[in-house]
Amino acid sequence: MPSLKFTRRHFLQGCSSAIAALAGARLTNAAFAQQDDPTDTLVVVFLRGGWDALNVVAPIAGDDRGYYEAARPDIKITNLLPLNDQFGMHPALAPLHELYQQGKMAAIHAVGLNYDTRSHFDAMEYIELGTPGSKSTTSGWITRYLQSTGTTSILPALSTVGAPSSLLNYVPTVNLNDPGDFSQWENGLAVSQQKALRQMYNGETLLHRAGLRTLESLDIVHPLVEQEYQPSNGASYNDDELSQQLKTVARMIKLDAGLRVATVDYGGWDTHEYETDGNGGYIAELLGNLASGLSNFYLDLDSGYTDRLSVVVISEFGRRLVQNEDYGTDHGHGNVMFTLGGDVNGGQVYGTWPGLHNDQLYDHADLAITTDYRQVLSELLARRLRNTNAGTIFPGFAPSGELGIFRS
Amino acid sequence: MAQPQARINRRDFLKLMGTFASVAGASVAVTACAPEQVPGPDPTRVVPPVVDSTSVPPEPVLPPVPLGIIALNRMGFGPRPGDFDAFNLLGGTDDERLRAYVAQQLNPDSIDDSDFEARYNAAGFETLHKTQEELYFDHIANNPYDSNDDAYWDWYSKPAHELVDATFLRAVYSKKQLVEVLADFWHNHFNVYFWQDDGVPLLVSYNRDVLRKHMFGNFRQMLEAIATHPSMLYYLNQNNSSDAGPNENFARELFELHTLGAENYLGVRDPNTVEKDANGIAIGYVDNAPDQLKRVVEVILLSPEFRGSWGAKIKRPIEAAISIMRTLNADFTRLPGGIPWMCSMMGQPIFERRPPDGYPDVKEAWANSMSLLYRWNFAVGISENWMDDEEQGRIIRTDILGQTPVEIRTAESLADFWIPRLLNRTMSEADRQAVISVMAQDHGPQDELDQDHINWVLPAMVEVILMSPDFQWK
Repeated sequence: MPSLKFTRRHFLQGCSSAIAALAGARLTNAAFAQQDDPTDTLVVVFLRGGWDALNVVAPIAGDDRGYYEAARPDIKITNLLPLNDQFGMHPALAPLHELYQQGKMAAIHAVGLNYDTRSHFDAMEYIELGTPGSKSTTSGWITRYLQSTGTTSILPALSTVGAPSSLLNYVPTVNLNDPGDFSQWENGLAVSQQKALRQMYNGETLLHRAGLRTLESLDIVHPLVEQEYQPSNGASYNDDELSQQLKTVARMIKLDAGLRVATVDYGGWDTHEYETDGNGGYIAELLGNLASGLSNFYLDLDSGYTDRLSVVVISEFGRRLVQNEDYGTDHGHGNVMFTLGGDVNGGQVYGTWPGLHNDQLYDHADLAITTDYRQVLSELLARRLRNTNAGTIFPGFAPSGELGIFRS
Repeated sequence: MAQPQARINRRDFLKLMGTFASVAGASVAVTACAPEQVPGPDPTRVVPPVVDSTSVPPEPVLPPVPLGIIALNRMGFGPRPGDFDAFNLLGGTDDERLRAYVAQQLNPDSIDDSDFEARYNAAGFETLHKTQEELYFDHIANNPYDSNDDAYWDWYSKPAHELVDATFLRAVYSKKQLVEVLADFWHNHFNVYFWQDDGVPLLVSYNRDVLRKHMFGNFRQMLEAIATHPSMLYYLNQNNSSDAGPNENFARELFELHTLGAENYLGVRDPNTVEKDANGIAIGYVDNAPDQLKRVVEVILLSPEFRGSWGAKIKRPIEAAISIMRTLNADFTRLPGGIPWMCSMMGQPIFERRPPDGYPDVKEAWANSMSLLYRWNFAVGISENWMDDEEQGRIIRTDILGQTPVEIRTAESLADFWIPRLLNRTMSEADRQAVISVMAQDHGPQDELDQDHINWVLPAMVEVILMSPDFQWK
């Protein structure tokens, strides 16, 4: 058996024979027997609005703690949950801290979109299209990933809110917030109509194939509409928007219908005003929902699915170091990302910390970026998705080395 | 600035907007404008869709259809009952018929649209007559309501919501179909986003004073009107921020996207020959042809490419929804909110495309499960009369039974009445049999069906025809 240590060349090649050999053993996992491929299901949680990275994972010691406290006299976070000697997590993230300690979760700091924009819209587009600086790209990065797999799975991609740009022009995407949304309106004769549609859509054109896929997806999802979902391991989803989306994703993963990617959105992070109330307040509520949703999702899927699960938590940018006059923070630059999964090298904070001294800040204002977000996703593609097409998925981007966030 | 059109040509104008793009040289501009931060080659145009050739077989060619079907689905939102026959009466040959129809549609003032106008007047829109200044002062600057109240936001967004209603009303009922198709085309071409900050009510003016005003006029004048209209300026400023300056780049992208692409939109699949003519005209007449765009559209519509490639595209969601309402002769005056909502479920909330490229018009963008499912559900909702917005008193009615001759009483004859009525052509025999079996249920195809059965099943049969692939092509 080859060593788990890979050379950079292997890493860039992605699906080397060594990785393929390792993957072979996993194919016997019955839970994934119906998938057309042994790679992870990727779940991308996009936090819309630009989350305040420096109040999510903050310095707890040294000069940087001093700069942080001085810049944020009214909104600094205290009693942080330590991640290492240098950083601590917002106390509202306690359930995720537990996953971190179990080695199931990692953080990447000073990461982000290395492009000069403070526009939500632009930053989200650049990140999701995977082409910083260009919004006219005609496919999202996940679209290009999925196209490169040639997957024929019935449910390769699920979006719980609309159609994100990361899946732009990916035809087989199913958008559903709740399985009940994906139903044919029942006039009492829907079964008979579907029988006719099966005949009519039995053809070779793109439209025909999409129609048949729709009918097949209806067959899969329909039983879910009738059933009350019982999460595994006593997981209990809250009623907030994020938790409900994650519950839907968990249900779809457990269908074993070949779900390769799910995208989930959670908005409201644009904290220009009254961001905190001590360690509580607005951002604590958002973080509490995030932690509850993700930890219950992980618990639910820790029933045979987490060793084929990779979750990425990303937001379009971080926020200014210095608080504004409304006890909030304005749009910034460098950010923090989370990864969760059975094969995340968790319990670590990755990245090169640039420091918070004024001279170390981007534009003398924001956390600098030392790791391109595409670095994280490229490692994920190579290690967990066993994909060799990073060059077309992120055109013009070359990963620099490997941080080692994921195991193969 | 006095008479800018006398002094700047389009190239200068685009320079003012921060780009050196010309209609012909757009790709050069992209390279020149590539941001310095991005290492390596500019990614904008080097992203070929990664398609596994084994998973995408070549698209089969569809059987040809009569020219009237092509014309009415591409120059309009699909035929209303009688439209196809009227087209065929326009001349003795396809060429004559098409020329006559194009001439008529290119001269909308010559078209008697009194039925639509009566309906429009009955709808009683309150804000659509307002000038740009009135829209600004009445609905933005002097909004009489408290911004903590819903009434404030209702009043603020009322003009734009009325525009949505009027847009559907026109598309469904106006005989000036090409005007409506071009209004939709130009909005997507020079896209602005409905909910952009601060300027929502001004969308009414953008639609009327810019897009509709210039659609048969001069491209350079249209460009100038667009680039100076507050709707576009708000949209451009969307990514303006305190100290970064990316909106210049945004303008570059915008204009790079805004080369003349109407030929492709109108269904000309391989526009090489036309493009030369069309863009040649576009450039050649830049400064002196007041009806430049009308001529361009005419060249496109009369080109051989316009008549070819039936089925290269499918109707986009809004087109599908409108064509269903048209072919069923659905009756509404004020649009129930469920109709635009359904278009959102299909992936095309009207005027709500955020990226500057406008909604795509390639079938890959719309042939997906959710979009198709809600297209099918729309057919069900309209046919079963489930789309009323009773709280608002907005009613839409479709009388399928009333449009069916009473003497037609077998599954086979009902299918053979409704298939050509909705498609203006036949279906394949296998598909026809599938339609018949929905109508027949547990009866034979030639059994005389009782009235209860017909009342119950006929809408479901009509829905299946509307859900079929044959209804989706354009």
